[in-house]
Amino acid sequence: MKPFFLMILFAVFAFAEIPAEMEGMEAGVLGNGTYLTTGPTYTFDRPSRQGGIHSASEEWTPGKTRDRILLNRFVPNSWNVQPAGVWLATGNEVGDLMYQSIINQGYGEGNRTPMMEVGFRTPNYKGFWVTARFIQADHFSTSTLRWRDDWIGDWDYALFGENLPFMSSAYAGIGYDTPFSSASILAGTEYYWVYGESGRWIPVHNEPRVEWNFNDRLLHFSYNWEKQLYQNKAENEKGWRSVWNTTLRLMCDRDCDDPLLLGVGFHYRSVKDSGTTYFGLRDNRVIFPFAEFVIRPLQPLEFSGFAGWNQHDWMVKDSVELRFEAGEFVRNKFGIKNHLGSSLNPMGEDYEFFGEDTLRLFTDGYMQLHRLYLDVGYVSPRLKMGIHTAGWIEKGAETFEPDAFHTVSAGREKYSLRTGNVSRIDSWIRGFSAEADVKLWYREMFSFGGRFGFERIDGARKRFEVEPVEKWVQLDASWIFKGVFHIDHSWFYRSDAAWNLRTEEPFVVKGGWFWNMSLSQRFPEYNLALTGTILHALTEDDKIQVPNGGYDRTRFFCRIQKMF
Amino acid sequence: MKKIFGILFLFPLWVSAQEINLEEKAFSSVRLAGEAGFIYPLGDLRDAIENSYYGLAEFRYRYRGSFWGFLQFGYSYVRTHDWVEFPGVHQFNGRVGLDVSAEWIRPLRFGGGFSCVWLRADGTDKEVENTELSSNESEFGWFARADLPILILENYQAGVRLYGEQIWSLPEASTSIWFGIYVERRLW
Repeated sequence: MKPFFLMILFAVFAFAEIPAEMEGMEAGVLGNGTYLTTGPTYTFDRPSRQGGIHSASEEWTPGKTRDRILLNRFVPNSWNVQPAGVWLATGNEVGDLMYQSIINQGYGEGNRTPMMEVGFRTPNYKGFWVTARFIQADHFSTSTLRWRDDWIGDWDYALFGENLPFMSSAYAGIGYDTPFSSASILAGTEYYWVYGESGRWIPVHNEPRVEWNFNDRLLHFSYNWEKQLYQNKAENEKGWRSVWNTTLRLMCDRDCDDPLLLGVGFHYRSVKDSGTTYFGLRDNRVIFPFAEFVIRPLQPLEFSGFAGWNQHDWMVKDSVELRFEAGEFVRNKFGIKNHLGSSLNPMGEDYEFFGEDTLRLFTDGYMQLHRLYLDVGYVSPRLKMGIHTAGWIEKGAETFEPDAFHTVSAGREKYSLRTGNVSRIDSWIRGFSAEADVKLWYREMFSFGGRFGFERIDGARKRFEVEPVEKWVQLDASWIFKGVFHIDHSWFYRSDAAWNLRTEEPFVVKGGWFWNMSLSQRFPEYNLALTGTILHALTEDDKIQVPNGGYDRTRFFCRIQKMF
Repeated sequence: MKKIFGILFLFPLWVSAQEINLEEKAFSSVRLAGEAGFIYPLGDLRDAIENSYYGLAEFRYRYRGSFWGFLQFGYSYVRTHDWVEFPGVHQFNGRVGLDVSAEWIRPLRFGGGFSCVWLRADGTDKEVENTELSSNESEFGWFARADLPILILENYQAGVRLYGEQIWSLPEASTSIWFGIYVERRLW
């Protein structure tokens, strides 16, 4: 009787591994902090355990060797080579009119837009493999369609369709794997839209993009070249930009048990502009050498960190963590993290050009962030619980100082643009956060997880680009039937967040509930999976999470995947 | 759409009552079927479109125990009422789902899953200039079905199927009933 009761419980309280539509849209399935998104090219993502007022995408780290740099943010790269297999996905924002359009002419809710993906990667043949992938997510695109069409005067901005999707990308390539290393060359073409600090959406066409990668346990190398076309037919503007990105990192990244690990590397980026390209990089190039370390003098004690510097910027991040056990099931952690630097992202653009104005995206001085935390955890064979508390202080936090706002109209919608410069908050900001989580499971059939957190931040809040959410709750449950049929749900709630500097008056993103669900029919004997996923089913349809962004609508997509 | 979630909560209870052989492999039996029948739109849709015929092909496979999976692809030409500017709509539909049966109701099977519908208006450029359906439109939804085999031979089955389908359109969901006859060939 007891298992049966649990079965009901877990069938109702659902889930864990819900996929997002594509790289860059992971924020749609995360509930543990502030996640405000408007498509695959722009997200404000700040887990509540991070500390500081910036989003994770804004921050450079040595591990982000292959992420895309869009303006001054890092975005996960859809060119990360997938495991060997063949896959197909299609989906849509829910709520197209379909036959209803005949009886509801003039219903002004707007079109709903699809996502699609197709790709394959062959198994290794004497180490060699071939891959190709096309992926495009049109979600979030319709509410700004008219404005973006007016501004660039062209519909031809996607590999497929006419919805002006924020990301449309295709590549093909070959690779060679050994048991210890992998190398690949990829080439393709893509369209995407960059969200400027000005608030404009700027279209870029990479024709082509080429990427080389080499990875083994100690050496990680990535090089890419993009020939970017910036074209605005309505304004009669056109420009070409060649971008070269190189990263080299020498650091152990798997099976690294040595008590002392040292690494070095550099990140290099250069551009060559002609015509109107909207963005600028000082000296047209930037190189950022860095060194990193992990020291474990005793089993429970770990020091780690990195430091990087160049002619303009420097950055140091370090941490000390002490793990201690109390009894058989209690695992605790105590630590401090420091983050100091003259820029969150030394690799990003330095200028955005907006008509006669130039927005300066760097500033003087430096930021310092110190975070002290204590995690208390209980782990037993069927139950895991934890309480995580932290306090942090930050001075010199990067923010934006708007000079002026402009409003543009397109149809019924109004959009806010701004000019100004990146600046700093030269006073202390103080934060305190607490989080509790519980996870329990029954064999491999059910798991249930609950998490909630809150964070109190004091300081010059009205100068924060985004005031993070103060409270959030997440409930996950998974039910796996005989190891083959998966039902996963995730419910989460977050409180209000506010954009203070993108619009004349603060743009408040009202809090609310989200419901994500995934059903998956698996065929482990054939490495085959059929998955249907619904995202943001409880969301109010007219919610916009980012100023000048699109509606966060309920969306459904299904995916068939055969792994080799 | 919320109804689907209610059904999904009950589904695990139903599933938990089933006996499954863990050693069994999927695709131990595979069937191919042709199906034809009528679509009856419900609600407001009756003001816009007429009842229509459909045809579809189904690929059905044994998944685990008494659970069968299926994939469908079909076409229907849906006539509009006379007051509509264009005469009809090309409708393609796809479905993916699971059927299940229990000893006490056999051979009746019940199932459900997700649907996808693609529409494009049929008519001259002038006739379709004011409709969103002048370009390809697609939307997803869900369905439930009952399947009653009437003639069961070693390699063939014939029977009838009844579907209730809801497409997640706005401002209202689009609901329809499908009724069809099928002939199925066992491949292995």
